[in-house]
Amino acid sequence: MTAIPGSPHSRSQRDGQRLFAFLAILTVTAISPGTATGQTQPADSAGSWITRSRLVFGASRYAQDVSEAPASVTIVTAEEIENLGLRTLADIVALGAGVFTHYDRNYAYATFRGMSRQSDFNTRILLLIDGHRVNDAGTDASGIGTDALIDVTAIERVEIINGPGSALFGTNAFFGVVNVVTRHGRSLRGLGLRVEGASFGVSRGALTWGGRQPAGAEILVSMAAERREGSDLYYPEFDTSSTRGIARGLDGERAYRALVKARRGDFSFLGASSLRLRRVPTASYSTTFNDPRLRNDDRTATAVVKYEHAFADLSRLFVSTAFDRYEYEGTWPYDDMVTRDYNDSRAWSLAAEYLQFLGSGSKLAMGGEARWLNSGRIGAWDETANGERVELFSLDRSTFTGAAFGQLEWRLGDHAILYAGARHDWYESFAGTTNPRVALVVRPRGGLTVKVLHGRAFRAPNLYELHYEDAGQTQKAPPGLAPETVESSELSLEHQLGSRAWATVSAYTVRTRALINLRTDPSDGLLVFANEGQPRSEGIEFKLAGSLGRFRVRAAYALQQAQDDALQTPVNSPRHVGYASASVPIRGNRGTGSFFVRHVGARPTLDGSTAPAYTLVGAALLARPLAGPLEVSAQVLNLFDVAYADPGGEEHVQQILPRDGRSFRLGVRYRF
Amino acid sequence: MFERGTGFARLSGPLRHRQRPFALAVAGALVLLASQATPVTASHGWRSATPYHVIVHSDNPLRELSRDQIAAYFLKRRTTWPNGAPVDPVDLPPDSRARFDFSREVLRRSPNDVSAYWIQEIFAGRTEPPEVKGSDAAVVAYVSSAPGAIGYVSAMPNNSFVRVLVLIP
Repeated sequence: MTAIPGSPHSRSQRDGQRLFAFLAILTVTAISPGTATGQTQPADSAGSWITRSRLVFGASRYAQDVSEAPASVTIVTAEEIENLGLRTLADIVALGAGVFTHYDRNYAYATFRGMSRQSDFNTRILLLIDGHRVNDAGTDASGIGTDALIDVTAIERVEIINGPGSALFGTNAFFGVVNVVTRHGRSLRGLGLRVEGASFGVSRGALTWGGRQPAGAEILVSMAAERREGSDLYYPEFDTSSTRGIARGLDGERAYRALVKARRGDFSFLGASSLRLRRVPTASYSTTFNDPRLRNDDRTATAVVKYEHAFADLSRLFVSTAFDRYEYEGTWPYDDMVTRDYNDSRAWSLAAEYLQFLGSGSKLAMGGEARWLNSGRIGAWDETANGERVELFSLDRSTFTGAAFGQLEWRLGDHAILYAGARHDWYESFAGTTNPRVALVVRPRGGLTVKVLHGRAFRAPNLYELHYEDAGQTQKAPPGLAPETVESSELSLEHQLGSRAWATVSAYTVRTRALINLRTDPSDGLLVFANEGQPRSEGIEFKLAGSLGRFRVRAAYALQQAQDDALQTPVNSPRHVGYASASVPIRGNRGTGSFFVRHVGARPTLDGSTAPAYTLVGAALLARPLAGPLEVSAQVLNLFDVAYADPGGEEHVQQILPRDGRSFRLGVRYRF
Repeated sequence: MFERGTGFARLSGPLRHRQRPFALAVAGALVLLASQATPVTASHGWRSATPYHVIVHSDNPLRELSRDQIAAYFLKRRTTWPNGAPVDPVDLPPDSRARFDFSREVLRRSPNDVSAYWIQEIFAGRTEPPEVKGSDAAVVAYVSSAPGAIGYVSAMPNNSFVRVLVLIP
């Protein structure tokens, strides 16, 4: 294997030998060619007329079947999360067709359809929790790595929706929408405890409790903690006599997450909070290498109260109000000082939607949203060696945004649905923007679905882009910024294979306009944000998901070509992205064995070099050896210890940032 | 969501004979028009022409119910009988003629609308749709063994443990 400098492989080899042997023995002895049918949810059984694993909310702001939805959708269920040993939201999102994630040893990023924007903190993806927006109201950032708000143990399903979604959800629904659906309390039926250990000094613990009270109320409580010691990382760019290029013990982090969800009648409440404390080993933003003071801390909290009522004519009203808070604190050490920066946003929001049934399945959804960022604070200061504090900048803004939207789902006879919708968003910083979407979904004959999709989306400039300036030292605030926009067209064909598998092929074009980029103003040499980029992408995606015989399978491959303004492939944009997994039940329904492989093609780096293509193979075992409440899970990731790396961002000296080598996990779960 | 070999039509009507789509489309349209043209509030003609029979267990003291009451039980908007016992509705398959007519005339919505209603309920984790039985016989067998059950069948049942309800307008 080719060794990429900094890749912590050797350490993983020894500490994983026993785990690997354990996994191999369990796999060989437990998987049999028996007739086990695997785990299925009750309503997915034969004869059921609604397949709940095929329901999606984020495509239309109401639940519907994936085949009827006006979008390309990938659904990842809790069962799949368990079977494949997915541990972060980034792991889950990467199962979307044409989606891959990369990691800079601080934050995880998702790229949809080759449209990578390095270090954009996932601002061009809308992240929803149970349909509620959780992108930071001040900077638009959304956390999908260890900084994510929701622990995977509390997830019922994740909807990964490719393409623009602003016609329903407004800003940030630019390249895609990710809707995380949390578990229902009644699905847990008691207390569950999970403990897991893994390579690189990773340990995790999670406790879930849920149930339904006799009075009809449901409650779910989930708490999770995670710790990573990490390993020493070698970066040749910093190989000097003093450090030898080794960042010692700086890959560690701790993360804590809590979730409370309750429902009674038409009312429900969701409260969630997360805290992630991370050291950063990459010396990003020109900080001092191998300095343990470099750290980023992220706190996220949300509280949502929802009212959902079905009227006698079956029409439905959704009303929700929410409070969201996001806090970030960074410590950036330099030789003669420490720079500290922060972001603290608090936002209230109110949303209402009315879903009217028009007969024969046609529907009209209309609603509105209001969001008040009552405190958006961003700032930074230097602490000099003698303790002096030098303010670099600070701002505290409050903004109000409002929106109205509507979508008609019009059934044209028995075999076609026409969707037409639009949303208008009002902003204080610019007048407003209207974003439409139209879609035609046709089922010409049984099993075949054809979708023609076209839509436009936008991302509003955030507080940082609009207002950041450092008193003329390096950067100034722009006189104004317009929202960046994207327009996408897509043709999708889906065919049902057997009773529980679907194959899909999609061809698409994505065209952006007026992307907000940081550039240098030639008149004064200062950095300033401006609307100037218009990268584009075209591609074709193949997807297979479902059950084939005894196997639960998922496969996705995307052939894509993205171009930036100079007609070059953008940084971190691969031409090929592929994923495949297969899970097979263990004898006597006593667990599941899974294998998976991921391929990401070569990607340009910032200096024009290349981050090589990589193919990773892994395996997972979920076993109930005593056929009781005890479950044992074991996984091996990057089985062949492939050295691979992701391109670094502008803030990194490194052109590539190596990822982890082979690693092992072993965990137990007990349901009381 | 729906089994192989179905399109949206499956929720639109009793389209069992999918091998002849054009004829069926015409027939389905006619059925749809006919069902919409028939005033479901015309109680005398409605009751005598009904292609389904609503049944409960013979221990159930009720003899008659209004369509709105039946709809409330089938949509699970009401979950207990007047005596406090839980209601246990059972349904026929989505492609059955009786279900189509029952949906149109009792629930007063198209099967597609009813399906969409259940999808919202399931997704929100609120309630589950009635259990589906594969045939009249299966519905009769279930209702005859479950005191809280209510179902409907296309043919008059011949079972002493079930009672056919009188439908009041």
